[in-house]
Amino acid sequence: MNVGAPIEEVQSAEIALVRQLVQLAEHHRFESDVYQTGMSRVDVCAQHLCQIRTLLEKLGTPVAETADVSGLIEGLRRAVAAPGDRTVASGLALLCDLRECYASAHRTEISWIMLQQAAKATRDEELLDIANNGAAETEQTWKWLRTRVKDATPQALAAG
Amino acid sequence: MQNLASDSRVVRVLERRASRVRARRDEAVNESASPIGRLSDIWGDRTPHGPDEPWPTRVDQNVMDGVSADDITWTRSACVLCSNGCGLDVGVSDGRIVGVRGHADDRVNHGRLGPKGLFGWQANQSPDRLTTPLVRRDGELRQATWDEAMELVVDRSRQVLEQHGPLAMGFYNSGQLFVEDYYTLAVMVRGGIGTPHLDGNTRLCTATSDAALKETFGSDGDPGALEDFDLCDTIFAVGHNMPETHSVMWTRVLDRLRGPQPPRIVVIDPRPTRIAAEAEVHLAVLPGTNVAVLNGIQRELIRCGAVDRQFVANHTIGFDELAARTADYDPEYVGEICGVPAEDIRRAARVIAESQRLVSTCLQGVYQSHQATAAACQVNNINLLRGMIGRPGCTVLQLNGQPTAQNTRETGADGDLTAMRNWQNPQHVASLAAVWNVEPSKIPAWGPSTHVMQMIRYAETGSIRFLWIIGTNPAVSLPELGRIRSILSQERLFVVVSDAFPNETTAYADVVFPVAMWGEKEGTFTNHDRTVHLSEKAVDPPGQARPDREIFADYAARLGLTDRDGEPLVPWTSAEQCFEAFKRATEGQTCDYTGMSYDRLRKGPVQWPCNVEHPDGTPRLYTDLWFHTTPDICEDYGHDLLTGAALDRKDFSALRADGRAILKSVPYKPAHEPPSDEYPLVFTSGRTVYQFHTRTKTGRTPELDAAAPEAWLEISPIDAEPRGIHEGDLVRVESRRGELQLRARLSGIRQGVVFAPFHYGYWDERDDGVANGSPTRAANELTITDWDPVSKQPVLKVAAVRVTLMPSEERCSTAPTATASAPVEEMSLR
Repeated sequence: MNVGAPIEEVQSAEIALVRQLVQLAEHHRFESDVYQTGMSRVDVCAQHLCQIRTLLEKLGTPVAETADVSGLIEGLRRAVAAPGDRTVASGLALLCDLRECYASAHRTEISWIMLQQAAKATRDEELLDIANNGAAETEQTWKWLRTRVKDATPQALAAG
Repeated sequence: MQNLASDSRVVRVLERRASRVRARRDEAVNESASPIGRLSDIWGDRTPHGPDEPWPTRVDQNVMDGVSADDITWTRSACVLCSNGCGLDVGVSDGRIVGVRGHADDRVNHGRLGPKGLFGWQANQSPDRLTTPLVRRDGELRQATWDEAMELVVDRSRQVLEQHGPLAMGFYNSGQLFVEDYYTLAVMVRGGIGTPHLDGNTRLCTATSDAALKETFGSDGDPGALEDFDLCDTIFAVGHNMPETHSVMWTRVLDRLRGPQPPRIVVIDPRPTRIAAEAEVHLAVLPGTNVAVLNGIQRELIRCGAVDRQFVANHTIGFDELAARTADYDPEYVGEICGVPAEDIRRAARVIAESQRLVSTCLQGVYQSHQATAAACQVNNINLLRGMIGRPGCTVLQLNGQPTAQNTRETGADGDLTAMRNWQNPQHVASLAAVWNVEPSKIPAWGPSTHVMQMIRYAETGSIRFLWIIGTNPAVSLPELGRIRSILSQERLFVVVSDAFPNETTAYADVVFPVAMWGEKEGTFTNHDRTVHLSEKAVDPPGQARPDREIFADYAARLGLTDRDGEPLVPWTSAEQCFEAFKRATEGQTCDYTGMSYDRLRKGPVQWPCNVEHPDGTPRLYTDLWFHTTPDICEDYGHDLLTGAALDRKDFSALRADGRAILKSVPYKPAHEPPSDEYPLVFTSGRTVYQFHTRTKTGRTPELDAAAPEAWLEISPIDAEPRGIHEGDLVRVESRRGELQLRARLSGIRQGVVFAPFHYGYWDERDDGVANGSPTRAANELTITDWDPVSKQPVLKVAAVRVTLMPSEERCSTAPTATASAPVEEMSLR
């Protein structure tokens, strides 16, 4: 069985999730908790990508050029250091960005689940450990996003 | 200890004050030190005892000079200058408060009072009390009648409600009101106006205590009793400067320490507090590293076989995950993170492992951190791993700071739903709606109540248009004050402030309501071991000041808030009627008050739950080791401690805790603003024993003000030396958000960390060469806008700063010397 394909799928999903989370953190840096927790989830994705790199290298599969997200993170840190107008309401834009992240996190989670299944079928314990952890941590991410969407929606939509 | 010139200055001031105050001694009990002496001898004379003997009585009192004992009438109350709730009587003569005396028969304090309790009552008579409503006209606050002021507030409320709806209304209250004030507010806001934007300043002090108790045990309420200090053999104090924040509690512990079989003590705190000085092991960790050190201690407990396996198997869930999670936290790794010797972590774990009766306590060093709830839960875990809960001498005490903080949680004037109901449980919401006779949908239970930092954010971006601030001073106490000032001064935000004094926040008010204080109104309040006291009215409030409860009831009536039958939503007209109404809301709940009454409380305090089953109250929760962790009973379904993701009923049910405590584990994550080359030191803030909060009362009490008249910066000699800083020098402390200009105190604080008290603001800035008209005195100029993901408690304990020497003609620090801020010799590098 070729586990390279599901690993690449996870890689692609994680890269997309990082981009979404970085966008969320940059757009909503004055929502302190969104910024801080968003960044901490970027770190989680970056750790996942490191593990994936090792797996792909072992398989001799080329690692995606975009898998190095350190540049994205650096860019974000520079962007948020610049002054900005914190009085601008971001209600609807926040909901949109949270929702996009949520969708991206779900795609990432299902990619990990595919890899879990592949690891089980190939009796690859090491890969299974990595996939279990990846799926659990991604679930943590979307549960946070779900909570944040639920908290933010009434004020964004029902406050006149 | 160094005898500093500044100390002698303070002593001179105190001696002058002493002529106005004299000691009275109660012959029937141990004699207490003279009140004025208690400013330096903070905890008074020792009455040592062992674990098998009751804590002896020692009655402390302080009565104004020249008042005859025959002329004094005494009124029952309790102290409101920390969360211990020491029982006392208020002495009244000629219609004014003339003193206080501790209650010998009160189990909380056995007669003792701390320095704040002994002196703080004088603030009631301060000449600058607010005595009439104020309304802003032409940019100035001017006197108005109650009708004028109240109609203006009601008109603006109607306008905001019509144009923007209830989500544009915000209410930010206190940890200083009484049950009756809070409950009236909660009914009015949640059952009447229907906004979730209601929080207390308890978010700054006790939100994590509440959150951690819910996460581990299923509901709020500290499991143990203060008597557990009399019985324990080990005390584990985490981020808790007990001698200064809870001085009578520390008196209790000191009496054990000086008696036979004293308890062993382990302390986690970056400062050399007095409890650290008494500790067998003091872990002076870097701020923001609590989870790492607590994980390390748990790993050691597991590794050395100190886990009560049977208890853990029968009464907890989550052990395997906890063991796996903490396995990597070996003492060397933890020591590197926390900046403490690995061997000290082993020693700390050994002391806890050898305990037979363990009392663990937490306070702001845990609660005001980025992993606050996570750390507090790890302390709960330690008692659970040792099987030490629910029996005498064995408990965790997630403590409070403010006297009535517990009541914001019980009444639902903070982020909780009244009487410890679960906002995610429709049956709980429906039962509350039935008590209030409103439609369940009226109660905003679609999500958790809005925490103050989020309310402030909504105000910043314009979706909250009306903000009523009650008995709290956010212009000094919230983080990043430059931002707070700009938000409060927005034109589009209508600000109402209820307070007893003009302060930094009333400066931004459109309307100010003058309120009655403690001693001037009747009501009840609850301390951190669930003890409810009745506080009777001793004197009339000054001028036109009114109790908060009456102000809320007046507002609710004028706004036309009614129940579903069209009857007034707030029908009560007295404190006692309100208490009876609150009792009905607690019936059958974990904080059941139904067995209490004002008459019962006149005989002495009672610990909840108090009902038919427990008519005399309940000293300890969970004595049957059955915790509130079933889906129908629990107050909250819990959270992921790392991200704050809320669990729902399905998630919680899947845990199958079913009455077992939940061991939640979490990895350590570094603080969000680590030191850097530009800002190389960690700034942390806290309290001194002489002051309370933003000094609204204690700053107006001559003796307390003289004992700690000015803010200071504690810095280690190791950090001071390369900066050319000596004791008493003027220094500038800068973060990315603001700066302070303070006198340096070279203290035993750990290297790399500096400390300033958070009490000081701007209403009484002295012309002493430090204050220069710019905001450089309040610690929160420096702090960061950030909060714990679960409790939403702001991170006030970690900010990166740099410290530089400023030119100054004199060297003089008035920082207290008998406490954690004691000076050290400049050359005695640690």
